[in-house]
Amino acid sequence: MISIKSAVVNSWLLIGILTYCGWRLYEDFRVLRSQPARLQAIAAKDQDTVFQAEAGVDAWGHIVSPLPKDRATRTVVFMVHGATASDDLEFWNKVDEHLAISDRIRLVGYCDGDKCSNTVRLNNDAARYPIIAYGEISGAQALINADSAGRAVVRSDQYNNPKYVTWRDASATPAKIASELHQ
Amino acid sequence: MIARDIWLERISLLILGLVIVIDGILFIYVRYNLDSFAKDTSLLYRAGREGSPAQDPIGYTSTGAKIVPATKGGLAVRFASKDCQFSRADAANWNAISSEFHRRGYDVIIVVTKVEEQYPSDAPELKAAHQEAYVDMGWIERFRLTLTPTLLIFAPSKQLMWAHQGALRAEDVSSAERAMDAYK
Repeated sequence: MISIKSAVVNSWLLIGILTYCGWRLYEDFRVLRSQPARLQAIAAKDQDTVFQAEAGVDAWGHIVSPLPKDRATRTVVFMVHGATASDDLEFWNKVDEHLAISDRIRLVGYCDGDKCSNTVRLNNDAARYPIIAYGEISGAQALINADSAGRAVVRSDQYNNPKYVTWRDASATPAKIASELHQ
Repeated sequence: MIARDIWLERISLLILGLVIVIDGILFIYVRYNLDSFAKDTSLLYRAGREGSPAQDPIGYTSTGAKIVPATKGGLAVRFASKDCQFSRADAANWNAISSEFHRRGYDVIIVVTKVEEQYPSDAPELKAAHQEAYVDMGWIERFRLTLTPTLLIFAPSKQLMWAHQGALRAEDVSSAERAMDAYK
């Protein structure tokens, strides 16, 4: 009698453990079962990538490093597209004009490829801020993901996670972005 | 009472058996498909960049030395990092395939996820390989890094011909060799 009861209890214990394992396997199954599901899972994982620090090499081959903590309290990192490089650079030049020096906000652009790098290289005065042409994979990927949603990354050592400003939007103006950054 | 307990025991065993069968089927499915997932090159391209021939992953070391891959011959790019346990776990298989790349005249580049994750210059992983800390943004925009280690092998035509996401196993080394043989 006792052995039947213990067998039943053990069976249900095993059922519980195996159901949990089965659920985990089912989650993997849902990701693996089709190409769209795989791409969706990878895209979701992309969004988990967090921008940590701006670092890289500019179009002239000079290393761009994160500023020391005492020099800038926030860094705004954005992507410059080759196709719209002049407009993108001008937009952020105007944002820079609107920012007060006391805000200690640093702007850093990232080129999205050769076309942008060439634009920057051909015009020394194109940008009032550093433009990275060669980046660290982890940071660059996080920025690419943010940019695909029209956003720039606002990083600070005071934030646990980066913040974002949407600038690739018809309603976004340099003054509006600067005002958002002041907050 | 006894009859009820026996009935309960049988039902429990039946459910247990059913759960074991379902888990088994799911396990086999996932195990089989994980391999195809790891080698699915289409997952490595960002949207709109699928199948396009790659430009060279020109880059820089953390000290600012430029690295330009050789224009002739094939190219292997490994995303890895010093502190990644999976990158450490497949070191033996990586060293084996790295020697094979060297023998075949392939240029080999290790791209680290960030500067702090660089290998020391005397690390065995860097034998016959360049290490890039900063990579051309156009190249990064084309290829997505989801996990380390990931290995991409490009044919001399710059077309991605073989890829593997995750730690390399001995059978992956053989599979990569077959892909390179097939290209000859």
